[in-house]
Amino acid sequence: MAFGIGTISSIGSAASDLFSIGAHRTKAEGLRLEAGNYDAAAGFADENAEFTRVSTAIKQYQLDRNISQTIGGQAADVAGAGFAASGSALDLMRDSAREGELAKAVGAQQGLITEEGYKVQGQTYRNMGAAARLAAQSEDDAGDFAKFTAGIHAASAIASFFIK
Amino acid sequence: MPNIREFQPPQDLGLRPDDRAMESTANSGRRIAALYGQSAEAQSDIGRRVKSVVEHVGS
Repeated sequence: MAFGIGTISSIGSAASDLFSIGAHRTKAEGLRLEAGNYDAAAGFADENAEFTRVSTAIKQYQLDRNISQTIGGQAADVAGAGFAASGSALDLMRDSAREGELAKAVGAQQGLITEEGYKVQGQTYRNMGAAARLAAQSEDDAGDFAKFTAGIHAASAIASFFIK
Repeated sequence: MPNIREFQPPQDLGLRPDDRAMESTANSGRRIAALYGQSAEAQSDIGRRVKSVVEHVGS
């Protein structure tokens, strides 16, 4: 193929293709980040499933306790006597202590869950900020380059007046 | 009958899952991919301009 319009067009296409390499790489990187975020979201969903399992176990425990209390109350009624510092009274004290510890532990765990949620949310906003800055920089670069190419187009147009 | 006051935990005692992390992570993934796509489009635009200049100057 002799040098001509086709050659010029090929050079232009080659330049365009070179820039498209970076464009495709950037898109691929974005998609990989999206995939990573979906994996992380799946992990958080798994954690929530575990929290729900633990919560259900706590509720079951409390239900068991209520049943025991009811039965204990019935036994006391049947006996028709007050509590002594033994037997049922000690059971109730132990039970209260267990419930108190459980309530404290649950409160602490709930605090950690909420804290983690806010931390992750903060990080995702920072990640979005970084991605937005990358996109803004690319737009700036394209804008700067457009000025350069506009200058070449203008110079070429002016030159065409003088070239016979 | 003696009144033995028991510790009464909250009725709704239990762990409540927090969807903040899961939802914000998934949503940000979609948004980040779109922003990277926008960045890529800007790079392609530079390529198209280079091609246009080369063709224009060469012709």
